[in-house]
Amino acid sequence: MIAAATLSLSHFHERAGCGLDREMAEEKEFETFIRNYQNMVFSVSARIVGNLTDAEDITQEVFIKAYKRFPQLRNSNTIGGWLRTVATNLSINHLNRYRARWRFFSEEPVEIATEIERENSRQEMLELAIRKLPDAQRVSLVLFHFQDMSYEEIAAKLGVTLAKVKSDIHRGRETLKKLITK
Amino acid sequence: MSDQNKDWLDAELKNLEDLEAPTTLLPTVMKTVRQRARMPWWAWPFEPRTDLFRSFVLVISLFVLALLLMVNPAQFFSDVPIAPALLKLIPILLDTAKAVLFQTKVYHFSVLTLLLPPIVLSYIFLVAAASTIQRLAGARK
Repeated sequence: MIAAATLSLSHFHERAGCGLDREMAEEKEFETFIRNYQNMVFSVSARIVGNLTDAEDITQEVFIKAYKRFPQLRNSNTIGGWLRTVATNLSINHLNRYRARWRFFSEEPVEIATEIERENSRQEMLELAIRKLPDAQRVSLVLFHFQDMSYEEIAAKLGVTLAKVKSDIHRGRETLKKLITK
Repeated sequence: MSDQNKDWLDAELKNLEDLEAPTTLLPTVMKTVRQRARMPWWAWPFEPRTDLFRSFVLVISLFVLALLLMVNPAQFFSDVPIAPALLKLIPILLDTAKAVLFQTKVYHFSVLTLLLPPIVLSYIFLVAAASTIQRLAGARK
């Protein structure tokens, strides 16, 4: 009887140990997953919201969402696309929530950054210049050039007119060129 | 629209690499993930603090409502001569509600016994539906 109890206890310990090992392995796997995708997700958010601190918060939110769906996501081929889409949506939601809505969707022209630090590399200058663009121009431009979205898709996503999207992207490109080639 | 600027930007963006994520990101996410992993399964739906707060407020409100129905505090003021008419009416209304809920029988069951299951079930159904919609919306993202 004692032997049976000892056996069942050791079996329980073994199972508990297995569960713990499995949990640790899953944790390790998720950590690797974050390491693989964190730069991409952070870049998407930073380019859309134009602020590194907010981008970090959004990136955290994206990965916490990913953790909740990790069992389905880990074997998916579209994991990168899923992360990119969630990061984009959360970043746009963030802009809608925390910035004056009238300004983001306004048809009125907004002030444009006139200078950026010249001592950076060309890539860094471009990143800075993108972040300095007005929200409406930056979001449309990033969705078009980085996410390969069409004008129509951008207009539908942001809930603005097609003409506004085209004009924002056009103005954004002009401003970027001025800032970089000055 | 000038295509020159588009071509120029496309060429510039080709060399653009992803930004380096802050070093604080990974530990913060992992900390949240570990906290979540340690939570019992039944606490998962209440994980966001706002949801927990809402559930707490709901439970407290239901408790206070039940307590009001049982104790009927207005009865203590109904005998006061200067009490307004409404204050005198409240205990009568509460007593009537109590009588209807507990004493009125429909097929040997009190009205409360008949009403409670559909109320609880519809609440559970609504919560489940809202959670499913949220999940589907998340999946579409």
